Amino acid sequence: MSVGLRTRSERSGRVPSAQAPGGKSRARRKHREPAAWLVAPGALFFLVLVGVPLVIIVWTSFLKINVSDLRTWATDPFAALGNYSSTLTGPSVLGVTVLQSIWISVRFALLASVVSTPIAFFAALSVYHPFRGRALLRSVYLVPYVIPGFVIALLAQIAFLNSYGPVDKVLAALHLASAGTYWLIGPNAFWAMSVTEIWEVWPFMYLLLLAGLQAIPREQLEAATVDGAGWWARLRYIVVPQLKGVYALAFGLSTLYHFGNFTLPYVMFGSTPPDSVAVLPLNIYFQAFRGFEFGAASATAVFNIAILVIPAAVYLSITRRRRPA
Amino acid sequence: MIFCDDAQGRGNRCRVGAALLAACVAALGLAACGSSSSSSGGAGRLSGQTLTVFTQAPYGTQLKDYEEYYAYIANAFHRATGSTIKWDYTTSTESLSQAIENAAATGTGPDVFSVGSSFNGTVAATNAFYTLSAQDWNQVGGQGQFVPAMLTEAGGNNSSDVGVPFESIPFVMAYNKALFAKAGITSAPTTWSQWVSDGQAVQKASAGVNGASFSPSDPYGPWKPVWSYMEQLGGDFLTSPAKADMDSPQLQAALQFYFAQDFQYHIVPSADLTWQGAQEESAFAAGKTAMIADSTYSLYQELAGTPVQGDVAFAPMPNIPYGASSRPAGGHPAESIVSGNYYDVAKYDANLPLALKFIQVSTSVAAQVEQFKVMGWMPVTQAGVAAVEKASPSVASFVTAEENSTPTDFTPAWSDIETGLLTVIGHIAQQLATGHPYSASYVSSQLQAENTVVQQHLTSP
Amino acid sequence: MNRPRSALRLSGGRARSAPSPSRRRARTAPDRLLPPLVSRVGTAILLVFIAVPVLYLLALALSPNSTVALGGTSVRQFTLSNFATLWSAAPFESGLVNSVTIAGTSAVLAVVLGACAAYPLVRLRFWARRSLLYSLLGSQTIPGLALLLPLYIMLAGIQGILGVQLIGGYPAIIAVYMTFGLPLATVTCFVYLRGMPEDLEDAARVDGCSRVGALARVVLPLMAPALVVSLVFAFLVGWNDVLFASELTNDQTQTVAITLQQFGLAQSESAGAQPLYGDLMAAALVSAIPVVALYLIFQRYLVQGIAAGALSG
Repeated sequence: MSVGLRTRSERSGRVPSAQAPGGKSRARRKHREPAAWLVAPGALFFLVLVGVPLVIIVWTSFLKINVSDLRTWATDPFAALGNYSSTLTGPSVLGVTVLQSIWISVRFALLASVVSTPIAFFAALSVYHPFRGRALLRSVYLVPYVIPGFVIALLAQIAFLNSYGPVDKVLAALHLASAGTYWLIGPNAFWAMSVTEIWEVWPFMYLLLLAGLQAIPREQLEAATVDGAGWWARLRYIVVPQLKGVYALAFGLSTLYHFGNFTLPYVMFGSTPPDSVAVLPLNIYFQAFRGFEFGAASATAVFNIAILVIPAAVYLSITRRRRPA
Repeated sequence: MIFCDDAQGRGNRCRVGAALLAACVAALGLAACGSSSSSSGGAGRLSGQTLTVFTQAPYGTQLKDYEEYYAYIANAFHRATGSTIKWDYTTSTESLSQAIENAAATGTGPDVFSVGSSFNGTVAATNAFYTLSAQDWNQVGGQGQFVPAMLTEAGGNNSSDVGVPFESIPFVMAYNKALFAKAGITSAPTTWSQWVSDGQAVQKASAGVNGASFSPSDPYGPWKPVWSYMEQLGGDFLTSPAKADMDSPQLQAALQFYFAQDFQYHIVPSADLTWQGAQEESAFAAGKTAMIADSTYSLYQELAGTPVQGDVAFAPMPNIPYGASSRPAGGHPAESIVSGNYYDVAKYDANLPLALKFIQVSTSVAAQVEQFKVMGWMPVTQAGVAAVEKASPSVASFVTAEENSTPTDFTPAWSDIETGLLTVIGHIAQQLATGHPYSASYVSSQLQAENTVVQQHLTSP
Repeated sequence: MNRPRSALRLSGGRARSAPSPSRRRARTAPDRLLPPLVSRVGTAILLVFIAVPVLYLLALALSPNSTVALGGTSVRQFTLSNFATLWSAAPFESGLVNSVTIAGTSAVLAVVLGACAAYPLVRLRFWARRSLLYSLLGSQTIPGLALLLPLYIMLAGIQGILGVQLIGGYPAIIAVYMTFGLPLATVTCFVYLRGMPEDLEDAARVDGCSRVGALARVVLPLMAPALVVSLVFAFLVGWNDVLFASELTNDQTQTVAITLQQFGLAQSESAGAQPLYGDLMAAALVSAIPVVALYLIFQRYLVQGIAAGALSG
């Protein structure tokens, strides 16, 4: 009986038996432990294919490695923090220092995530209830995310061409911008890139929110409806509170994704991009694969990870406190 | 969060944690030692082996042509040695960079790499490729058989050659004969002054048409015309192998002229500041522009089926700076960079004689003629050039360009120089696009910043 | 979790009828979370937002190669030739086959391993739980670029030890994509599982299932929405990636992403680019179809709500 389910889940929600100290939990633990091995296969692959390269990067970030030292990369001379200090503020072949790149990346990532939010929320909420054609609509919403990123970047490059591209023509016709405005050079390039990224990646957040919506027990909505709650009350008191966790995760992952997006700026702007879009992945790429400065590139990458881990840690400690005790 | 009983938990954690750490260190150590497996068999044996060659992938309108050419070489190689070729494909300069880095760092990979001329300096600096002795050169037919200009990018000097040229793609200018005729011009410009006046004449004679075009936003193109002009003025990126000279007056003058095509002489569409090579070719194919600098023979094929298909002609690039009647002392014609691809043999390949045999097959006269017929690539040997000239007199401009080509600096820092120059060009384009006038002091400061970066790579050990 | 008191009011034994789809009840249907007008207008706007660039892509795909680079497209010039020539301009069929195999296998493996890993992380309280969760989320901060060379070095090392050619074959690239899809799959399943009451599994275990049995028979089917979403994410990792595919595949195992790159970015140092942009746009459309089709098939498993009926009776 659904009634029974609700009271039982209430009970388990408030007092998880695992936390009850005493002999009962110990006996239970013996029952439970065997399943912990399920984590092993995934963890093993992860450790080998991500962990080891990561250790290599950290190691090489402390070494002096240039194009002529690649053969002996593991035993190259120690550079201590030399790589770190030279990459962070030193001149780069892109004409933009690493610190400046970080700032551009942060602004870009946050902007894209923030603007994606209302779009993603709307889309997920609007396809929650069944209607004819819902399956098709759900799939259509996925299309921007599914088209290869490199193609979208090229499409954007053509679309934003000054004088020739449709964006310029339409905006000029609507008198929102003068004809022949440059969208691919100068400060405008940042906005062109942001719009393209938002168009491409908002379905990511939408998918996570959609999955989160499915996790909400339907009886709660039914009960609320019966009790007279309209869509706003249902949204505000049932849906949104339960989506907060998923949303925080989606926002965090989305921001990380935008931050690390290399394909879009690289393909859309050709190489040696304008200053306003010189995001951090581009800087790392040019150091590693044009300059062959492997040590410096590793240092930049490690720094990249470090500065992203801090907000991630903050996010985790916030959500940890909010998790049901 | 409740953990298991602490004592037991901590103990477990310690043990497993130590095991993980040990696994990491072991894996790291093994990876560092790397493997030095050679992919071809015993040194010296010529038959029954497999040679792996890393080269341009067949793609695009020339897909069938590439496959035909590769099949031809593979057959010729098999007839000569009894061994087979395994082709490994690159799709872009990026993946070539990656492949070279991987090979250098791990000591495994393809045996022979096809490397672009300007890039050879950086490749040689990895110390991962064989330097060719006089004996090795004899095995591929001797240095004397090659067009001398092509040998300049084979190595830093005669005793440290790492690459053998096998094909050449010289750069020339392309122009629209019909638009020229309408403006009363009968031949291609040979000086930059004529380039400007011809462009202006074409614009006057046909409305809605631009004299020329340029592509400052292209990832690969714009440094070439700038380099040409600088060389013609007697300048260079390096004054000596260890001294960068990126802020020389000659380079500044070259950049000024390049952009003056837009802001001063108005012979290029000002929308061009965001253009890449693709847009330039599109405009030319639609008959909207009359000249393209630094074009190649492949343009001919790309224009098939477009309105201008019968009107395109090629000529060597202008080689006298604007406003002058001859080059200053120390200036080079520099109509084209030494342009082509070289075969470099990786040091981990234990079977150098086999690789050299492959190179010899690729540079034989028959192969060079076949290469031209099928792919449109120019031969690199004098005998090959003579054979092709006899068969197709129309390639005269390309032959001249190849023989008069000037090498770019053979230096480990080439990648930085090229990227740095592209950055400066991009920044100048940005300035012009956002309404600022061309500022010589801005350009100078940009060049000085790049000079610092390049100099760092030349002097760091 | 805060639940409004009104929603918790027990209604005793009063039977509730299932929500009727009739229009009379539409406004108060429990699963309607937005007013109909807002929903319809917003959907229309969103559809336009999505469709316009896609239609532009289609228009360019129908235009001759020489005009696409300057955005030139006109209905008069529309031609289907690009869709015909793209198959011969690059090894596109083998690219599609490889991509489907590689991305599909790695996605399925990532989801299976991810769901398996998420389960103990949610239900059990064991010592490594926190560090595993943190490292999963932390792994998303690692720039993929940075891993390129070290990963290759490591694979080359393993190759040397085992004496087997790994690089260029399916196993290596599948393993890499699977590992990249793992964190997202695990975290998605974890978040979804966290909200799922334990009673259903408990009921199964009371009936005699082991932990793993309960997982397989009861939990996984209920996790369908999370599995579908994880599958899509993991599939796209393998489908769209260019960097790692360029390193780890050879011309026989190359994915469609690499083939596409050959169209658009293939430049040799000496030759000019052949901008087959029209073919490229056509190829891009074709390569988007399998994923959309995949999602269309699987999205019906995104069922609404948790099957509460399982416990009744």
